[in-house]
Amino acid sequence: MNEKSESQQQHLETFSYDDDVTKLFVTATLIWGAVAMFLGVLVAFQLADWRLNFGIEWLTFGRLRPLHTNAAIFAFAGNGFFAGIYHSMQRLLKCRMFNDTLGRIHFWGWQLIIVCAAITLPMGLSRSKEYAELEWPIGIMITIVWVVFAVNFFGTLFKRREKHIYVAIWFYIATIVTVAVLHIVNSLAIPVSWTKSYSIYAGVQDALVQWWYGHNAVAFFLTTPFLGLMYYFVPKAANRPIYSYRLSIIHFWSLVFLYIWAGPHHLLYSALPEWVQTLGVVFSISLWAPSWGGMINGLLTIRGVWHRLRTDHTLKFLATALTFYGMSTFEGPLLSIKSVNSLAHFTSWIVGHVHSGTIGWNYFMVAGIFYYLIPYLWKTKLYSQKLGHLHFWTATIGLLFYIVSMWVAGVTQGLMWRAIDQTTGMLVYPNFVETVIRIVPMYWIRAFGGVLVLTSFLIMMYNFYKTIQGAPKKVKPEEFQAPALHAQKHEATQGHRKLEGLPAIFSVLVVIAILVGSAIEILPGLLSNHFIEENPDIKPLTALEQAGRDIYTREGCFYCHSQMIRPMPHETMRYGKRSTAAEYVYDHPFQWGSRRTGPDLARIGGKYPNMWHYRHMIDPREMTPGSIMPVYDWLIYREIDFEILPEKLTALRKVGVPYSDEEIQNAVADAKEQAESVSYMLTETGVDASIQDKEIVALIAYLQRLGVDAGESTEFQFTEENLEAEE
Amino acid sequence: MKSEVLTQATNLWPQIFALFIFIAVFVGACLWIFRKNSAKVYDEMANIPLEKGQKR
Repeated sequence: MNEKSESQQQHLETFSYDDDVTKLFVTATLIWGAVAMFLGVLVAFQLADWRLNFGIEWLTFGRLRPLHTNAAIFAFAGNGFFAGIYHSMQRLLKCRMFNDTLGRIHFWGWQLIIVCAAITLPMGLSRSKEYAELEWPIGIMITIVWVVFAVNFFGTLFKRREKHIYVAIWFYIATIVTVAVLHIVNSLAIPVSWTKSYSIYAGVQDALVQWWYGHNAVAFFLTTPFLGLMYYFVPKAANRPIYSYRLSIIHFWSLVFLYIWAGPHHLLYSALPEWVQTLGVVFSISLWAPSWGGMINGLLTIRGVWHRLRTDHTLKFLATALTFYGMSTFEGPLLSIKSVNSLAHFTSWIVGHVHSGTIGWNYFMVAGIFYYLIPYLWKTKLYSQKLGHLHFWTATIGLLFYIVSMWVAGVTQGLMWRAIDQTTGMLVYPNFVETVIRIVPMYWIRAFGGVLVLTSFLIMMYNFYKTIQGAPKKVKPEEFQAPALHAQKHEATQGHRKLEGLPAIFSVLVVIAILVGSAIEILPGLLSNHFIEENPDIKPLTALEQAGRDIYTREGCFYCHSQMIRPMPHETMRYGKRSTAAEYVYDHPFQWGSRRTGPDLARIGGKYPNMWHYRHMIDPREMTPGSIMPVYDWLIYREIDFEILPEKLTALRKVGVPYSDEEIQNAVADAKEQAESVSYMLTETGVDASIQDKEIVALIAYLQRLGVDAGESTEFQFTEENLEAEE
Repeated sequence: MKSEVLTQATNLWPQIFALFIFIAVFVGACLWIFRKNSAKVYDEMANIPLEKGQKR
């Protein structure tokens, strides 16, 4: 390198870096991180004590949980890695960002999206798909801002002064192209109004597309950009090159190729076709190898400077982040093994697993990077080393409280659900709420852990605030020199090196790598009904029931109640016969859920009288002592929006629900008629007659329909097939 | 055509073939990455983050 630059002194170009955009993203990360963690603590306490929504609908768990997850993933982690990318890519490519204005549009556009999310999610405007809740206008904003980011990113690549594209940049490329593909495919929907849309996919297909998206949001939003940052900031902090550049090549391609297949492990034992589940499991377990390859590559880079972990906050946080990354990427494949999954799925174990990734990996990575970046960008020294240590230990201990309490809660509840008495052949805990009451103490411990994590974040914020406050005010931006790319003498290059010099072709190869798995898993299900046995008894919902379903999705019921009975003796004994793919063909979107904080509702229809549901919504504890469900009394005051029903049914018909012209024309009258008959059973026992145009009636109509078309629930029988499924 | 493809799900040979391709690509990539005389190239690349750039 030295020779080259000496011989080309005359071609040197002078440039500076756009550090202001990085500073903006750093600031936003700190603010949204505090918001996300505060929301997390609030919803954690709400699970421990149902009264903590203070009777306000906008603060209910079902509406705040998506705000917490969106804030943590897209606002905190998103702004965090944008800051890291803007900083590192300019230096790795030895050039300023392509366009400063695009960087500002990216920044302010992204913050606007987050503000929109913070307003719409508590209002209940939700697509009801996890981590993809934002309604379609915001979805379009995300697409536009992402394209702006991509243009700025690839523009910078094309005007770079460093020929070789370092491995960190590959991970950024994979992030940008894959997130675009995931977001667009999963967001396809038919709008009813500015605030409501229906997914174009239904049931099994929607589930498959959603978890292909959902898992790869973890992969390509929370993992690949952070791995890229790891490849830049760990060598930077340790002041030594990455342990093995060769390993990083294998790491990159195998991770990118394998990850995209793993989504179906979120749907094991569901009505998803068996072969897709198996593919998901195989690739999830294979993922252990590249994940640990990356972790080992990062940790071994610190070889020789381990002693600095005691004093260097950047290294300490990065090393701990890598350790938690190793742990959660070990746990992930473990949870994908079907027999383990049968115990862990729908329990708190999954919640603990997710947080060991998001807190242990993403938060710690951001913290480590910021301990490096903030003093560097503001040209000053960290305000307090002691606060740095306090931050580290508060966060680590808080996270351990979180993970361990969720392990205990998850395994306990999972075992209680499946316990069958050996002599009577009956469920040991037939009453679901028994299994809830048992784990409430763990919810308190988890919330305590969350408080520690939030506290740690506030300590970090204070430390950074004081650091920035004490920084010199006006500093002239540093200028650098490097020869232009075209002026550099190129050695003959070949193979992967040549490939790295061609970002366009490289990006195309990445797209192919992610599309192989996507196409093989998703396309057969979309193109063919081969995998869904038809059931002529399954009919579309009535207009009123659809109105009820929209209330169900608005309130985020599916965050706590699944609609998927797995083929296991204890599930069929508790909830009725196993769910089949045919039952969901009109579900836009699917509502299978991912966590059973409360019982499954797939066959709740007809199980209780209307009055039970009515009183249960007003006071869940009256019907189920010990229940932790919040009160939904606003459903009794809010009126059903009848007038929009024809439009809703029309939109649903566009996505394939066979409503006739007549049904659409008469939607309002039909719904009112059904509302009258549902409320008749309520008014009979003394409820005011005005109830019949209130939302609770629509919701009851929907709940009473669930599972009814599939016929009588049969008690579980000990057939050979069922016993095999249990094993 | 798609239904023809789907009927192949029970056919063992395409699966073995796919497995073979996976392993061959992986082993091939590893061999190539560890080819002789490549150490210098990779050292150069690994040092990119540590270059400070020429300060003016």
